[in-house]
Amino acid sequence: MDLFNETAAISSVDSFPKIILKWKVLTSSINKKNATMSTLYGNDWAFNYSKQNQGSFYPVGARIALVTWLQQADKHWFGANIPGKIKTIEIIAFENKAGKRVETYLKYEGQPLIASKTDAAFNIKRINFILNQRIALRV
Amino acid sequence: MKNKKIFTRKWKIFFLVLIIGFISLQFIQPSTQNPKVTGDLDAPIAVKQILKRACYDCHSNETKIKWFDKVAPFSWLVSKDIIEGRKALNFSTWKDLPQKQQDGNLYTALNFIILKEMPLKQYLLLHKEAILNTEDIEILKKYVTSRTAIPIAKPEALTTKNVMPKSIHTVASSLNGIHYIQGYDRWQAISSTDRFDNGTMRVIYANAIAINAIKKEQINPWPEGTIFAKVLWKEIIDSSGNVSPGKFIHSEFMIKDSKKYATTDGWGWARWVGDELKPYGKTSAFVAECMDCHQPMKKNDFVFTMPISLN
Repeated sequence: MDLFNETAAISSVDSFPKIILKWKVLTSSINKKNATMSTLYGNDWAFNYSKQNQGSFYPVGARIALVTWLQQADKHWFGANIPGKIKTIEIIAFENKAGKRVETYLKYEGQPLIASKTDAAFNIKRINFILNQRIALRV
Repeated sequence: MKNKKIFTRKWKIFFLVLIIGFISLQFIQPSTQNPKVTGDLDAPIAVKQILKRACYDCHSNETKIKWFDKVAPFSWLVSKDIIEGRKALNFSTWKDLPQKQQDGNLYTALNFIILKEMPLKQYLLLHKEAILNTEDIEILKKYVTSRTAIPIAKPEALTTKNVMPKSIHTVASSLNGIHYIQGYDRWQAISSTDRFDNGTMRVIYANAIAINAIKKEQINPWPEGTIFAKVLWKEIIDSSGNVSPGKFIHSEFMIKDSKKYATTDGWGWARWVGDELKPYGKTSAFVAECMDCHQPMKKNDFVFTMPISLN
């Protein structure tokens, strides 16, 4: 029986900081049609905000990251899917630029994961999608 | 010469006693009866054939005892297996169970078959017909999957935000005396699960001791002090196939302490249900449910979750 899920790991060749997996979980989601599953992580700023607030108006300093894996069948339980290969990592940073709170979007994809170029319209669409994720936290 | 004769006589007496003892045993037989079938499982013929062949002897009221099953002392073991088998799962009283429990039992049974916990090895020794091949397992997989498609949620369920209950200051201890562990959601997540068998989604968190063990790749056994927290949510699915966490179902924990929890496989098991975080179960015997389910994972220190590698 396998002990580790090696498939879903962030590879050492990925040009991506593993620190994101140390952030706090804000919620998770699945897409049945694409057979993907995602976890939305947040840094302490984002986590503390989500514990206290229902909305998604994260404060300056907050960073959130949606990590999306392809699903794989769980070898230990027929009836379960678990993360397989990483598909994308999307990061939103909430920053202060010239006195205004702005959201910066960055996307990594592929194997190995590399930063991909995206246009403004795509960025807005994805920011809205990510900010609309239903937060799932409890005491 | 004389010694040899005495020796042979002793052996003769020994075998005679053994034979008399064996014959006497046959008069002390357990009474294995077949109670009435009150609500048999309705399933396609192919599925029923497999279940009848491999499971029904111990998991129904239609037990067919063969002549060699009636030979004591084996008949006592057979009887024990039947009593325990029917108690755990009985296809003859199947319709007494709510649909959700029926589906859960079918998935559990199938997973026990896949993980080779069932049928019992001692049973298979003399009942080769009960061995399930790959084709049988595929038929069972298709059948159980067909029973549990998650319906698309109503529009209001998709737009309703999850409301976090106000902080709960006092949560009652579990019935086996474990205190609720607040702050587990600040721990690192080691995996998530999409349980299409029962329409739930889960996040599994681990404390710092466990995370260090994952980094060192020393998790079998998990080190003392390891704690896992698993949090379950009901899946809400929209017409595009997007699934989000709906109602909070429960939080549950596994706490590694080989001495303190020596009688429960070295783990402290605890679960708190619903927004009010009510301790699970009616008595401390609820732990048997946790342990039974985790038995197939005994070679992995009773842990199902494969943590995402951190190296």
